[in-house]
This record gives sequence, C-alpha cells and structure tokens, in this order.
Amino acid sequence: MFREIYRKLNYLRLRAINENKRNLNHNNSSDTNRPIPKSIDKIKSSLQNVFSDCADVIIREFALGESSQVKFIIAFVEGLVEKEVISTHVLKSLMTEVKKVDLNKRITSHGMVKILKENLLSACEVNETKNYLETIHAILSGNTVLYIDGNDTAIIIDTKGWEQRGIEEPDTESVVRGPREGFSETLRNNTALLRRKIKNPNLKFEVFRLGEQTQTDICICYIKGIAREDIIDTVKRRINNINTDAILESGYIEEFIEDAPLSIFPTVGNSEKPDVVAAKLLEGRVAILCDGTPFVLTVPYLFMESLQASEDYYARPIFSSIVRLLRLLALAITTFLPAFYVALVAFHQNVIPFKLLLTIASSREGIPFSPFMEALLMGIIFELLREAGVRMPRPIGQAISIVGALVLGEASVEAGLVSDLMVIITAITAITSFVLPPLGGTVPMIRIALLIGANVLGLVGLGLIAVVFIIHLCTIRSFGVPYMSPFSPLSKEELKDSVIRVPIWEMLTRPRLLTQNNTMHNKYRMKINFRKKED
Amino acid sequence: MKKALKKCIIFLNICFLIFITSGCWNNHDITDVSIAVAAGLDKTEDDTIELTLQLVKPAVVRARKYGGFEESAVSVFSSTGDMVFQAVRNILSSVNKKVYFGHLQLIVIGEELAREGISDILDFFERDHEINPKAYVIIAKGTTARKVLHANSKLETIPAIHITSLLENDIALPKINKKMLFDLLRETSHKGHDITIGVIEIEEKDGADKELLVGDMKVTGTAVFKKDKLVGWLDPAETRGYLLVADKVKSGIINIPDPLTEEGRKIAIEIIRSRGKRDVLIQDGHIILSIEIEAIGNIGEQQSVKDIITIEKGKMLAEQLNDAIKKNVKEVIEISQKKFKSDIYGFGQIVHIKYPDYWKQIKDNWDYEFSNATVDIQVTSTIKRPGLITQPTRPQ
Amino acid sequence: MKKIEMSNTQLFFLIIGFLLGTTSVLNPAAAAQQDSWLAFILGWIGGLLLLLIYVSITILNPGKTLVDILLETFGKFFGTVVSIIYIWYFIHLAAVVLRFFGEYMVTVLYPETPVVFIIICLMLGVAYAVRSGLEVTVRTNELLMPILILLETTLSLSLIGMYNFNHFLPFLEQGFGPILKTALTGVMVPYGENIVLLMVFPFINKKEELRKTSFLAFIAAGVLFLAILVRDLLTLGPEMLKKASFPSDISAKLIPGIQIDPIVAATLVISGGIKISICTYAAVMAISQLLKLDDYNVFVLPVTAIIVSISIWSYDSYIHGVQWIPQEWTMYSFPFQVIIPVILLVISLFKRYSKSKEHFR
Repeated sequence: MFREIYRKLNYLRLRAINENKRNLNHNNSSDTNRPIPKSIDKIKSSLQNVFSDCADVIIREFALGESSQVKFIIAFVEGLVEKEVISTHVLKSLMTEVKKVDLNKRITSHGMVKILKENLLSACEVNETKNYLETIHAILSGNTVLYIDGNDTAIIIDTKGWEQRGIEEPDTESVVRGPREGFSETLRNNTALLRRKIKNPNLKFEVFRLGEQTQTDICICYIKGIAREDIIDTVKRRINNINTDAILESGYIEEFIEDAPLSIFPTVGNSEKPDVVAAKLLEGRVAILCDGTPFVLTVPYLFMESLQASEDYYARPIFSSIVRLLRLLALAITTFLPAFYVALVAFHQNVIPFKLLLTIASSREGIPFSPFMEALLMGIIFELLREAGVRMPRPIGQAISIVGALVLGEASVEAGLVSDLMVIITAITAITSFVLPPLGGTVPMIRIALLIGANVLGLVGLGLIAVVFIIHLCTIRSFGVPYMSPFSPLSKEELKDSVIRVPIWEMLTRPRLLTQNNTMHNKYRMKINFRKKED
Repeated sequence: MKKALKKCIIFLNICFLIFITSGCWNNHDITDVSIAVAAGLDKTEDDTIELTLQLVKPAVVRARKYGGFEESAVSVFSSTGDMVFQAVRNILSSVNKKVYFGHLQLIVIGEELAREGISDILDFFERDHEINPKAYVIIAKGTTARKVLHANSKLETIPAIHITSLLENDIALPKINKKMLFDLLRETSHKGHDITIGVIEIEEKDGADKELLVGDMKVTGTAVFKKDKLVGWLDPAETRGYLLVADKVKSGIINIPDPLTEEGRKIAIEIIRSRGKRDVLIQDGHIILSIEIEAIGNIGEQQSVKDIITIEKGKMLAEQLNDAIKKNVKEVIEISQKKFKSDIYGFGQIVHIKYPDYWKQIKDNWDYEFSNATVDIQVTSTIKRPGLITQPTRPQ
Repeated sequence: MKKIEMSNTQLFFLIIGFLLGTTSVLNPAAAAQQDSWLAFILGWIGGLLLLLIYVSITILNPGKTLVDILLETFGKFFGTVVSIIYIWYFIHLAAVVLRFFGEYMVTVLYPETPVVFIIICLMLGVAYAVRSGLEVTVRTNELLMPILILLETTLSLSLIGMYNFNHFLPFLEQGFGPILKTALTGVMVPYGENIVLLMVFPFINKKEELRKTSFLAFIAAGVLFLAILVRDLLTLGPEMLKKASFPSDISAKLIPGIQIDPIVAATLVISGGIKISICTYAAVMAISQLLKLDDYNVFVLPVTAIIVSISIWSYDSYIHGVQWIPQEWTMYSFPFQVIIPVILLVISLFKRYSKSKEHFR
C-alpha cells in the first residue's frame, strides 16, 4: 500500500523533472550524427577521451597486411563480451586468414569493409556504421567495434556475452501446472522466449532506446493482424514521448504510459512468464519488454485480468470456473469484510444471527476501541507485518510472520486490546488478499475507504463508497479500452472468459475491443467451430 | 501538479473531518447497548403499563459455555409508563445502556392486560423500526408477564430462548399455538377474523418457595380474543381442534379407541399431514359454515393385541379417526360460537371475499350471524403405513 | 460536446433503473388495496402511451435532445422559457426523489441521523457520477442494475411461503373509482417521469432500435414492478399494505430464517441514486445546451447544491410529503409530462407531414 502511494508521488516528481529535461534536450540534439574520423590516431585519441577512467573498456590496436600497412582498432567492454569469440572469430581470423586475401592500401574504403565483412570476420552478426555515437553505444552494449585506418566506416561485431541468470521459475507467479520458465534480465533472451512460443512472422519486435543516461533497450511486441493498429500507435507515441534520465525497470515505463496515473487501480499489467505474455499477445495486447528486468508490461490491462491466472487455461474449464468464482469471492471478502463487520456491529446489529451476536458482544466486552478503530489498527498492523516480511531475508521474514501472527494476535486478545473476532477477520482478510496478487496494493486502500464509509453511515455508507469505486472503475480506460470491459460495456462473447471460463473450443471470437475484427478472418480464432456454427 | 496536490489536501481534510464526526448519531457499538430478548407487558393496579425486559449478559453467556458458571445469563428489569414507549424509556432509569430491540424474540402479554385489549400496545411493536416482526407473542394465563420472565431455565442459558424453542415444538405437538408478531398484526388487520394467541401458564409446583423455572411452565393452549380483547381460553385438546380447522397442524398424535377389542385399549395415529379447508355457503339467506379436514396418518402405537392390518379394518380405523377429529372440531366450533362468539377461524373474511355485497349488510352483526350459523364438518382421513411391524407386539 | 456512446443493453438497464428508482420502496398503487395490481396495470398501460409519445418525439427529431427540440419548435424566446421550466422540473424531481430516499433511510435505518446529512452524502455520490459523464453513469448503471433486479427477484421468491392469495380478493370491492384514481397517480409518478429520458435518448448508438429497446425495457420494468407489488400485497395483505410507510421494508424483514432488511434497504438506495443522477444529468445538460456550452461540468456542483436545498425545503415532515406526492405533485407534473409533449408531438408530426408533402411535389 505504501509502495503504491510512493509510486504515485514518484510519478509526480519524475514528471516535473521530465519537463525540465525536455527543455534542455533541444540544445544538444545536433551532434547525434557525428561521423567517424578517418585517421586511426584521431579515433584512438577520441576513444581514449570518451572512455577516460573507464577501466573496463579495452582498446586494442593492431596492424595487418604485408607490411602492416593497414591499422585497426578494436574496442570492447570487458565482461560484456565473450573474449573467446573475439579471439577466435575476430583477431585470429584477421591475423591468420588475412594471408589468403590480398590486402593492401590501394583497396578503396568500401572494398575494405566488404572484404572484412565477407571474407575475414567469421562472427555471426556483423554490421557497419558511419555514426560515431552508434559505435560508442555498441561498445557499451557489449559489441566489439572494429575501426579501420583511413576509413569512415566502422564494423560492429556482435560479441555480446555476459554472466547472466538462467531461465528460472519466477517467484511471483508460481504454477502447479504449466510452463515453469520465466523471463530473465536480458532483452534478447526474453524475445527469444516469446518467439519460441509464437512461431509466426507476424510477431513483431520493435526496438526503442530510452533514457538519456542509461540508454536502455525497450522492445514493443505485438502480433500484426491481431493487435489493433490504434493501440500499437498509442503505445509507440507514448513511449516516444518518454524523455527521462533513466529506465532501470519496466515500472519506470509503466508510470510514463499509464492512463490513470493517480488512480489506485493499475492500468498496465505485468508478467514474468512467457506463456502469459504470449497468451496476451494472442488476445491482441501489446507487450513492452525492457532490458534489465524480467517483468514484461502488457497493455491494455483490464480489471478482469487481475482475477485471471495462466493456470485457468491449463486446467479443465469447470474447475477453473470455480477457481475464478473463488477469486471473485476472495476479492469481495478482502475488500468488504472488515467494513461489513463494522457496519453490522455498530449500526445493524439485527442482521447478525442471535447466537453470533452474543459471541461478538461477549468478545467485545471491555475492549477499549470502537470496532472501527480496532479494524483500522489491525489492518495497519497487518500491512506493517507484510511489508516487514517482504523486505527481510527469508528466514527472518518467517520469524516476523510468526511473531506477528501468533504472538501479537494472541497477546493482544489476552490483554483485552482487540476482540478475538477482529483477529479472525483480519486473518481472513489477509489470506484472501493473497489470492489476488495483482491487486495487492489496491485492495488495502479500498478496504480503508469502505471502513470509513461503514463507520459513518453503516451499510448505506459502505454501499455509497462501493458505488463511488464502481463509478471510478467505469471512468478508467486503458489505452482506449474501458477498464471494466466485458462487464460494462456488456459483451456477451467475452463474458465467456470472465468470472467463468467456458471450454476453449467455445471461445469463438477474439476479444472485440482488443483486436482488429473488421474481417471474418480476424474475428474468429476458431475456424472449425466457426464453420460448424455457420452451418 | 499543483491541482493534484490541492486535491490531495482536500481529500485528507475530508478524511480528517470524517474521523472527527465518526461515532455520532446511529453508530452504537454492540457493547453500548443492552440486548433485549424478551419483553413482557402487564397492566398495573393504577392503570399504567408495566414493561418487563429480559436483557442478556453476553459475558455470562460466554462463561457458561465453558461450564461451571451459575450466574444467570439474563437480568430482568421492569418499569411502568402510561404507554409502552414511555415505559421503554423509563427503564433507562435502572438499566445503564440503551435497550436494543432488534433481537427481541418473545413478547409476553399478561392476562389482565389482554382482557383490557391489546391493540393499544401492538401499535408500538408495529411502528418501531427496530422490532423484529418474527418475534413470538404469547399470553401469560393466570399470571403476569413479569412472573413468566422472571423464571429461570435449566436447559437453556437464556430463559426466553427456552420458551421460544418450546413454541417451535409446534411442528410435533399440535397443542401449541405459535404466533409470530407479524401474523398477529396481519390477522388483526383482516376484516372478519378474530385473533388467537398461544398461552403460557405456570403449573402447580411441589415446594412452595422453589425457584420458578421455565420447565415448570407449559405453553399448550390458546387464548381467544374478540376484536382485541381476551375473552377466554381453549384447553390443549381444543387447541388441537382449532389448529386442525385453521390448517396449522404439521404433525401430531391422535388416540382413537380400538374398534375391535375390549374397552380402554387405544391406537395412536400419527398425523403426518393434514389440511383444513374452511368455506361459507349461503342457502336461502342462511349461513352454512363448511369445514373440510383431510388427514393422513400412520399407525404409531397399538395397545390392543388384535391384527388390524387388513383392508376393512384399515377403513374402520380411518372411520374412527374421522369420528375423533370430527368430535374434537365440533367441540371447538361450538365453544367459539356459543361461548365466546368469536370468529377465530376467519369465516367472516371468507364471506367478505366470496359475497362482498352480502358482507356489507351483515358485517355489523357478524358475531350474531356467526354464532347462529349451521356448521357442516367433513373429515376424510387415510391411514397410510403401519410402521416397521404389521402385527402388534403381544405375548405368545 | 463529448461524444457519448450508449448501447441498447445500456439503454435497457437505464430505463429499468430510472423507473425502479422510487417504485422499489414505495408501492405506487397501494391506495387501491387488493386491486392495486389492476390499478398498477392500468397505470402501466397509460405509461406505455406516454412512452410512445416520448419515443416518437425523439424519432421525429433525430439526434436532438429535449432542449434542442423545444428551441426548434417554440422559437428562441418561448423555447428558452419552456426549457428553463423543464430544467426546474428536472431539478425539482431530483430533489423530491432525494428527499424521499432520505426519509426512507431515516425512518427505516437511521432514526437519529439528521436527514440533511444523509441527503448530502447521497448527493455527493450522485455528483461524482454526473461529473464523470453520462457514459460512465450509464455503464455504472449497467453494472448495478443486474444486482438490483436479482435482489428484487430473490426477495419475491424467498417470500413465496408467506403469500396468501386471498389477499387479491374481494375483487373490485370499492368499485372502479379508487382504482382509476390510483392508476392516474401511477401514470404520473413513475412512468410520466420518463420525460427526463428525452435528454438521454438521442445518444443511443443504434437509433433505429430505440423504439424496440425502450418498449422492451418498459415491459421488463412492468413485470418487475408487478412482482414487487404482488409480493407486498400477498405478504402484507391489503390493509397493512395501505398503512405501511415503506411496504418493501416490512417484506424484507419477513424473509424466513435470516434478517437482512438493512442490506436490502441499503441496496435499494442505489436505485434511488440512479434516478437522481439521471435527473441531475438532464438538468445540467439542459443548462449547458441552453447556454451553448460544450462542457457541463461547471454546473454539476451548483445544481447539486440547489437540489439538496430544494429537497430539504420541499416539505417539513414526511407526513406532509405522504399527502403531497399523490395529490399536488401529480397535478403539478401533468403539463410537463403530458401537455407539452403532446404539443411537441403534434408539431413534429405536422412538420414531418409538410416536409414529405413538399418532397412529393
């Protein structure tokens, strides 16, 4: 919850900074097209100037040809490259294979590059460039750049290779059934994971580079022909408008592109699992991958998605429908229960069955706080415990939860500070809130708002605040798509995949609001069944 | 950004205000009210209404759950006032917390008050928003409501709950006339329908100064009203007859003499279903009250030793049952017609529905018409099953 | 003006929600006692005729709200005057409904709370809805209406054990007089108020299905109300129905096994909120159209404040209100609901006729 508020405040701060930045940027946009100097000495001094005090940058000079008349410089960042590749496919091939090729100074600059690219360099991916800044960026991203004396073209050799985390099962979205792989911190790996799921040339990856200082690679990913063009354009436009120093995590991007930045409801989704993202892409959503984080953003994000999980589609439909209903129930319980309790105990005692009323009344006897204060205190204590548990190393986190849940709860009941029923209610609220991880930050705020409503006007106050939240939910749109779709606006076909999930062979059409559905071909995802239906 | 900040400040202000104002008005914590489970109403000698309330002590209820705690779980308070509401407020001079009526389970009305008319007190119970219309109403026969509510219980922690659960036994014992407050109000509002209410009376007890217990009281019998005034009583057997006509019997036992054997031997028939139909016919300006009762029963117990499970004998049994029911019903009708002149079955309502024009002529002296009407009783009963054995238990 | 999209389903639920507003707690035909169902059906037929007039006006003047039509038909000066009177009517209607629900809550749930506080709380929610725009209001309504309909149906079904069919009888005891009188009130009070929807009708997506959707909604609302009315009549009986301030509350108290009447009451308040927000929206929209402004958000708070004050000042006690609604309010709303719309329809028909005549010539 506090994280959520912090996020909002951060947004305000970043937006202010961003505005200042934009003014500054107008001045220095001219030197992005600097050419590469022809003379090798100039290159060397320039490189040394740029990378002064950069101990990890290695600049190696060497010469080739019969009388070493052609000079070269290769530059790379140690640790970001595979040295093995450089030594075998760049240095070794240049130095040994060169004898098979006639290499002299008379060859034109273009010819030289051609010979190098086609005959000598045996690395996989080789590009040429004339842009000096691009070579610098290439070096910093883990490529090796080969500068040639007397030539204004440099060759970028892909030698990326660094220590990285393997593909592991993500902690945030563990599943019982379904693929266990998760995204990692490297953009290229992540795109590969997606490509492996969707082997279709229509799966497009468009790369952007964001962040003045960090120069982070961003990749937006969609399936052409399924995703709506205007949504793709909106995503591109919003990403192009980002003008900031640093993109360290996809959360930075999220804040810049979300529709309702000050709302407590998230309008951009994220996932760590390729199968989840692939499924969303196939529903017409756009994914945004960011280098350096395993969290992939998906837009548009609808309220319904926070109640869905990838496993719903892997388990059998009746079972997953029941699970979805359970999640809906969990949402209702976790938001409404404390407020409902307060409303009943303070205003509408006649709703409580007589025997339960006696239990509540006897457990509340001698408690110094009003039910509202009690619920609020317990709620805050629970949030504190959760925050403490998340930040602590795992063994300590467990200790905290034991101390918090058992000792504190038991002791406060014994001491007569809180009623035992309130402890039970807080525990139920906590358990049910864990059922819905995407709404983890939102739910406590709704809960407290409802609590206040219930304390002021009982059930009517509770209902009033709930309706205000519903109005707010209806106001929000995510990239042009109403947040509460498919409930409002009601869409019969999409209700099949909402609080219940019908069998996959019954889901005939793609989501209407997310996909292009101007043609029959686009509209239906199930060709055979579609024909059956038409017959 | 400034706008957003402004909004934040306003929002926080509102939150603060709400915190300050919270706890006002209708926000009564459960510990700030005393829960009334039963209310008793009596007429005092100086013509005021005496209200007796049974208030729960939740802490004692909880302690008694774990056993060994002998303090009573309720405390009983009384107050007087010219009207019910005044008495309700007057009780606050001795009770520390506001009385909460939302869980009122039982309303006991003393005999004396009932004889003077109950419509004065019913108005409060219909008007107040807290009152639960599903509470039961009962008349304290020969005693005061105050005395009834002072009784303790050995079976339940709360005596009033003991009484209400006794009333709920009416599904097995058709001598109990269970009446919900709402049903009472609805019947009062009907034209041509006099009301009846169940009865609670204190049985003779052995020791003179023994503590009064709910177990010493019984809830069988019926109080008969004319308009809103108590006019008399039906004893338990008559109550059964009344309930049969009023179509309120769910299950019950009727003993019939064995048609074959010696005197005094009986067979118990368990009525498992019964339907009472009332109708009014007008022939030549003469009112005929027709009552049809259908009863379906099983053999529950047999004292005699002769086989009765044959087709003819089954028919004889049914005849016997018919006669028994008929006799019972006839008796009750006679009493209500001649003794009380009170139309507790709602025949007047039937006339009103069936012959609205005729009703307009006679509605002012319906009592006279009712008490002089001819009664036609038809009973059809069937014996369905003999139980686990087909022959009686007898020594060989 | 912002582009507003409203689907058929949304209009369907909007009409039901609008009509359900007061009917959910107040039985409009209770005065006719055991024949209230007949009075209700007669009133419903009358309401259908009125709806036919309103829908025809919208169809004859496609894409135009009531204010546009008035300005066009009566000319600039008289059109403005009539529009202002209508704005007053919308505001007054909202205020009356608001006060009614305030009284309902004070009587049924919160006898110690000042009615002003409840009214202000309710109105704040309404203001938020109206500020968010018609589309949002309509979509919220779409989410909430199924819940309300489900609640009403469950309530009617769960009370089946308490039904006593003798309460329908005797049929026509007091003759047709009181029935017709009640029926007339019934036409005016929930159904005639449909005139407010003339501010909403033009925004439907599929204009050609307006007639079909609105009639379907009207029939559905009629069936729903009949279920409510018959439930109250059969459980309470004609006499208790007549004297009860809020019959639905007593019915809710009688649900066997559990006591959920505050939950029912709190939910029914939502239906009142829907009606008030549509009235407020119509008033605000009419003002902005009259002043030819694009954005009506400026007027939301002032109009809200006016509604709150009128609702507080409209009558001193509920005793006054109980008498006032069937008698004076009916007469008062007659010109708004019948006379002016009929004139509008006649003029529109005449225009259409002369236009087509020109066309053929």
